[in-house]
Order: sequence, then structure tokens, then C-alpha cells
Amino acid sequence: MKKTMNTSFACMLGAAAGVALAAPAYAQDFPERAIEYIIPFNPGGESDITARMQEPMMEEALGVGVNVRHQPGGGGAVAWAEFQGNAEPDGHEIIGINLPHIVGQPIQRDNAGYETEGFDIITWFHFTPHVLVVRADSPFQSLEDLVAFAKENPQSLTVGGSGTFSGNHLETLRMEQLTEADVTYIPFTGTGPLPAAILGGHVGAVISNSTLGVQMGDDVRVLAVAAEERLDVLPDAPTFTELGYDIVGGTFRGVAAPKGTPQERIDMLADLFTDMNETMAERQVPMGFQMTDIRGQAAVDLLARLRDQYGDFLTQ
Amino acid sequence: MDVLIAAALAVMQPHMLLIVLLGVTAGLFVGALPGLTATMALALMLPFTFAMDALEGLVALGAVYMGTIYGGAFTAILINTPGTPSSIATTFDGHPMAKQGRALEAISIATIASVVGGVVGVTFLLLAAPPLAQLALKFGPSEMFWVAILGLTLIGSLATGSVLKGLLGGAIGLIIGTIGISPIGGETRFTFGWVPLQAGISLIVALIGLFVIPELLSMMRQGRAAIDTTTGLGDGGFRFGTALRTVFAKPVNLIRSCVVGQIIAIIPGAGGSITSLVAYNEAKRGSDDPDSFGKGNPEGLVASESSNNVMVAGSMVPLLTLGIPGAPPDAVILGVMLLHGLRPGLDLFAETGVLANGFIMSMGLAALMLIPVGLLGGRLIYQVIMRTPHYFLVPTILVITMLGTYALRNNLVDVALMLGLGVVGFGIRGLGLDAAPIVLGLILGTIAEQGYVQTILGGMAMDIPQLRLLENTLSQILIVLTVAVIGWTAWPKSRRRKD
Amino acid sequence: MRVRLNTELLGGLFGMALAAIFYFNRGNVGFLSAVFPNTVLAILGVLSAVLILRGLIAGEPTTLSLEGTGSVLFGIAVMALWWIGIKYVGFVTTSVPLFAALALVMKRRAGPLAPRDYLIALAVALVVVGGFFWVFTEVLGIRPFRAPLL
Repeated sequence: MKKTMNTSFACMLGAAAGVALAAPAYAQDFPERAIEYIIPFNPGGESDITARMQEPMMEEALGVGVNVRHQPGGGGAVAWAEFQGNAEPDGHEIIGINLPHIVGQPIQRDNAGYETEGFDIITWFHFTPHVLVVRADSPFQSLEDLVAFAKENPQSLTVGGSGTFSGNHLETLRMEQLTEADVTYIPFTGTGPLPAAILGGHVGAVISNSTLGVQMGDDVRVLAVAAEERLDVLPDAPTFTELGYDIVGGTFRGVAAPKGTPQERIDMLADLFTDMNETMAERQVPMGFQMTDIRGQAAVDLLARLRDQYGDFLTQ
Repeated sequence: MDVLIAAALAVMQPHMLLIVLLGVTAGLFVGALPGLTATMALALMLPFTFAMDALEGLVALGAVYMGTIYGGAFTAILINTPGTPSSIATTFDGHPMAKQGRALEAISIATIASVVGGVVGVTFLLLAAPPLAQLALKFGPSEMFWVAILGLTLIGSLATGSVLKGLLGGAIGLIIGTIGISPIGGETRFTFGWVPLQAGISLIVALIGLFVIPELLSMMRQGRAAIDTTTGLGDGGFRFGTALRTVFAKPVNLIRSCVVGQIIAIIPGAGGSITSLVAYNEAKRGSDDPDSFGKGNPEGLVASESSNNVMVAGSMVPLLTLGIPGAPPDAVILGVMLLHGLRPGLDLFAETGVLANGFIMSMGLAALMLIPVGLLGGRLIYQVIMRTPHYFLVPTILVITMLGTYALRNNLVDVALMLGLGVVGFGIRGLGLDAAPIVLGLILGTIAEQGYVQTILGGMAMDIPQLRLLENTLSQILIVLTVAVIGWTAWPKSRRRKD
Repeated sequence: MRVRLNTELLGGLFGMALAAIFYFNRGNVGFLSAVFPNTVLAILGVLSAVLILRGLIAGEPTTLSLEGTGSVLFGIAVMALWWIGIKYVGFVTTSVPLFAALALVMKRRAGPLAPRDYLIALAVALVVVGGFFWVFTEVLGIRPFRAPLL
């Protein structure tokens, strides 16, 4: 046990050193002081843990300190609003951003305090597709079983997820629209309470991120994955597309700089995050993450795509 | 059995002992600073744990956790300020003891009670995790609603003066807790058009504001420190032997507090904040002389400090067996486990038994370590607070609370809210509205609201969704308990009045 | 100086005022977000009304001492200034003088100040403020304040 852990840690160190060797390519007048990396959520969440893994690798590569700071509140809105209002656009202040949060909140709230387009997106580095899971002893063997039940018994099937008008909620609404199933969505605060809700039978099914499906293993059955292809970590779970429903969605995690940050600094940070992805893939892919590198125009297009996909539900 | 021995050997390494010692010490000082929570301490530890192997990392986190929860007792006793939410009830009798010149004795009692609690929690975790975990799963939305209502009935017996004023305080806490984004519905409410209020009033911000600031203002008013060595009996010493006898003289109280602590700890989401309050309340109710509580009765201190340290290992039950974080710090520990490729569940014990059991045992070790670390650290903190003249103590505490509040969410608005709540809290304290019921309302409001609305949502297919609140057996048990508690609170008083 | 106050009446009025502030700022939110706060507001209103009634009918004034009110008001003013200073000037530059001022004002109640006391207060302020600022920024890693000065 101990040995394997040490080995994988050694791999991580080695890869970090690899990133460090690549560092001179970036060497310029930037960065000249410590980087502030804001996480708009609570400690212990997926965004936080990821940032804590990136922290030492960034320090190694950039040669300056990197400070991960939490500023939770309002589902991320408080930190995003403060960041758009006050952060200096010089590349030394960056912030974690999540989709569909930054698309959804400004549409749905009267005044979220920030704008979806108000960031210079560095890159979206992670994607966790949504999964629909039921408890292992559930009578629903397939998505069809669940949909058939939900059509016959309107509103009596409960589907748990994290938050209201969050990715989980919007995906449930989209599933209802496309499958004509009539379910009741029950929001929980964050992903933390979801394992208890499903294992305790407090909800009939859960829509959450792929990481939860992997983490809960044999205790649950994954009925469908909202990705384009089956996941390597969940080989037996079909995609919604395979089953005939065009549902592809999940949570994207990325980083952004304030609007107006010099382009070469954005590019340099984007390259760094992509390099780090290779190292982190070793630990995070088995947990159910998909590593991505969506930057530049593609990152902005993604915002528009999600707005098309979910906008109707949000303005209802 | 072999697994247990192997685990014990893995933990008994010198470098492991050093990790536990350092972790407990660091945790103790973090816990003693108002505003710095166990969750924050663990998050700060994260990068260090990446550089360790899985067992070392978990042992370090467990030790820091244990130290923080215990460290909250020092400020609770010495300056009437709970360092963490889990030591609110420690202020009730711990601080009056300090005012009587028995500060060090109170620290001794708190230390011994914490050690007992920590060890008991570890024992529960080693021996009874699977059945306890099954019990934890029974707490769904409607049960959580009734847990919150049951918790609110504590106000009746916690209120020092008028019960009516206590209830008003509770309602004030409930309404303050609704500020921000609604937990279900996701809408912005009561922000008065001010964007930063989307984050709501954090429990810790209210806790510091309502406890610390009024205490500082009254020190300014009286022109002396809260604990005055010249008027009191002075430094009575640790009286370790006396403290030991005090703790074990009432075994019923000790056992009851540990059991209460364990039960509350496994209820996901109810978490550490109310554990000590419930245990305190039970101690007071079970006592022959309930009127002596709140005036320096060591039994109250024992109840609070033993129950909150049971919680440390106790909340690991749903975490290690089901992957359900029972209290916020557990979320950080879960994150570390997942990063090391460890999947919580019964497999964790089957496949990596040495690691799982080693982690649990290290928490017991951390609890034992509290005796030397706590008594030395306690003496140090006591000396510093005693020797500092009050006119330097007040601004120093003010600096620490402002930095601590800011550190909580890196948000200067929180500091303004903390100071504002403190000034208002000082004003209404003069009217007999105490801080404890307000904070209790704030803690339980969110739990009650989520439970209520989630239950109604789940009953959408029924004619009257509210009936769903009464459906489950456990809910019914909780309702009966609630009625019984209300009856108990109301009845003896009316009888006493007749006498 | 002492005042006699009907604390039940005043407590009830405070609760009622708070309920009113929240009631008139409910905004336009859906059932799921409104059901709980509306219930709490009703409870708050009823409790306040009962307290007001009891205060009016059977209220016995409690004697409160107003001694030291000046120090309290001074303390509140210092806190307000302190926060404004942290936000717009700088943490250390604000905290050191205010720390010293608060300490000196509190000490003065015990007796006249010697010139030495000013120096001691300033030195203690520097050490305490500097020390804790260092611990929080360097060890505990808080985010730097967005103020022009340190």
C-alpha cells in the first residue's frame, strides 16, 4: 500500500520537474510577484482539491509563490463579482470559474453582481459529464425503466442533485423535456449530501457529476452518462446519445483572468494549465474527470452553446 | 485482529508520533483563534499531505482536527468566546468558573473530558461503525426537519432569563439565516439590493460578532478584564487530581454526553455545532440541581467538551463507511482520500484495513496527546491572557477577530457584518436577548428549511405534500421527543410557581 | 447614572422592527424560497407582539447602569474607523494608531498617563499588529487587503 502511494507520488514529482524544465520557455517579465488564485467555493470541494494540486506545480514552473485563497458564497457569485470589480488585469490574479454556473446565475438572478462575458478565460481544463444514477438494488435496470415509470406516475419519482438552476437541475429539466418523463427535482446543498440521499433511499435517483458515479462504485448503478462517448472509468454505462436522447452536459472547470489582461500572459498561463493537466490526469482521470483544453474563441463559444441549451429553462 | 495489530504498529512509528504531536499542537492554537475553523485548518494542511503517503496525510489531518475542536475551549473558558462553533456550550459554565478564579481547573476538566470524548469516539468507530452508519442513512429530509425542530426546543432550557425572550432570540437567528441565496429555489432574498449579501450571514461571522464584540465592549465599559485576578480567587492551579475526580464523579453525565455526541455526530449535516449544546442541555436536564448550570457547574463543562470531541471520530463513521461527510471538515478528509485513490466504504476496511484502522487509532492517539499538549498550551495561553493588562487585551482580541473573520472567506464585508452584529448584539443583550439562542436559530434554520422544502417537494405527487413530514417512523419518534421536551420544559416551571 | 427600562417592551419592539424590515424586503421570490422565511416572520411577529403586550400590561422596569457608556461609544467609533481604514488606507497603517489610541483611552480611566505610556502603547501596538498580520498573511495565507498602503 505504502509503496504504491510513494511510487505515484514520485511520478507526480517527476512530472512536476518536467513542467519545471519547460519553464524557461515562459520566462519573461511575468510573473514578477506571487500569483493569487481565488477559489470561489468551500475548502474540500473538487475545485479546491484541484487547485491545491496545481499550486506546487505552478510555483515550480513560474518560480514565484502561488496562493490559493477561498472566497465562498452565493454559489460562487460573491467571489466572481468581487473579482470583476476589483482585480488587476496583469495576470497575477486568477480565479476558478465553473460552467454552467457563470452562464446560469446572471440570467436567473436579478443582480448576480458579475457578467458571464466579464472574464478573460484562460482555459477550461476539466470536464465532468453528468451521470444519472440509482441505488444498486433499485428496480430501474435501465433509463427506459425509469422513464416509463416516471411517465406513468407523474411527479412521484424524485431526482436529487446539487443546487437549484445548477448544472444538475438544468440537466434534469432537459431530460424531462426530451424523454417526456415527469419527475420531481430535489436540490441539495452541494454534492456532499448526495451519497446519503441515494443510499438512504431519500430520493429515487440522482443526477450528479461522473466523479460521484465512480466514487460510489458498486453501491449504485449508472443508468446513463451525458457525454459524447462512454467513459473509460464507467465502461458499462451507456451514454444518453446511445439511448436516443441528445443530452450532453456536465460541469466544466476552468480559470480566468480579469478582462483586459495581456494576451501573451493569458496564453502562457493556458499552456501551463495544459501542461499540468498531463500530470494531474494520472490521479484525476481514474476519479472520473476528463481533462480538456478549451481556450480562446472555443472557450467563448462554449458559453454561447450552453446559453442556447439551457437559456429557455432559466428565463421561464 | 492481525489487521489491528499491523495498524497499531504502523501508527506507533516515531515519525507518526511526531506528526500527531505537531498536528495536535498546531490545531490547538488555530482552534483557540476565533474565526479560524477546523475546516480552514485542514484546507491549509492539504498541500503538505500531498507530499506524504496516504496514512501519514490522514493521520496529520485527524490530529489537526482533534486539536482544533479542543483548542476552541480555551477562549471559551478564558474570554467567553467560543473559538469554534462546537465550543459554544463550553462558555456557559467554563467562563463562570474562570470568573471565580478557577480558570486552570476548568482547563484541566475540559482537557480530561476532551480526552475521554476523543477515545470514546474512536472506540465507537472501531467497534460499531457499520450499524451506526445504517442509522445515519435513516436521516432523510423529513427527519432532518424534525431534528432541527427538536434542536430549537433547546432554547427553552438554554435561555437564562425569560423563555419568551429566548424564543424571540431564536426567531431572530432564524430570520438572519435566511439572508442570501435560498438553499432550495436558488433565489436571492433579503439582500436589500446589496450584492455581497448573496453570501448570507455565515455562522462563524455571527458567532464572533455576537460573542466577542459584546464581551470587548463590556470590558471597555467596566474598565477591567472579564476575569479579574485581583477580585477572584486568583490562580488556583490546574488541580489535576481534583479535575480528574470531578470528571469521573458523575459517570452518568460522562456516558450520556458521549452517547449524545456520537448520535448527533452521525447525523449528516447537523454536525458539530449543536453537539455540545444538546449534550449540555441533557446534562442540565438530568442534574439534581439544574439551577447551578450556567454559574460555573463543572458538569456542564464536562458535557460540552466530552461530546464535541466524540464528534471528531464520530463524524468519521458515515465518512469512512459510506463516503458521506458528516461535518464540513470531513469534506476535506474525503477529498484527500479520493486523491490517494482510496474509496470510502466497507471495502476500505477490507482492502486497506491497515490504513483505515491506523487512521482511526491515530485519532485516539491524538486524543491522548491532548493531555500534555493541552495542559502546557493551556497554561501558556492562560498566562498570556492573565498577564496582559486589559487595555492591551481588548485591542489585541479586536485585531485577532478582525483578521480571523476576514480569513474565513477572504471577505472584508464579513468583517463589517461581524462588527455590526456585535454592536447590535451588545445593545440587545442589555434587553435580555442572549447570543446563544440567536446562534442556535442561525445554525438550525438552514437545516429546518432544507428539510421542510425538500420533504414537500418529495411529496408533490400527494394531495397534501406536508403530510409527508409525518410519514416515517424515525420522524414520528422525533416528534414524540419534541413534544416530550416541550412538556418537560413547561411543566416543572408551572408546578414550581404553584409552590 | 442609572436608567429604568421596560426590557420586555423594548425587546418586543426590536423584534417587531426587525420583522418589519424583513417583511418589506421580501422581494418577488417563488414559493420554495418564500415559504420558510414567511413562516419565520409570522413567528417573529407573534413573539414580538406577545412581548410588547406583556411589557405594556405586566412589565416591570429593569434597572440598567449606564456607567461607562462613553467608553462603549468610543469603542464603537474606533471599530467603525478601523474597518474603514482597513478598506481604504491599509491594515497596518490603520491598526497601529487605533490600537494604541484604544489602549491609552482605556488605561486613562485608571489614572493619568505618563509620557512613557504613549511609547509603550505604540511599541505594543507595533508588535501585536505586526505579529498577527505576519502570521495571518504568511502562515495562514489570507488574501492581501485591497488597500493602497500596507
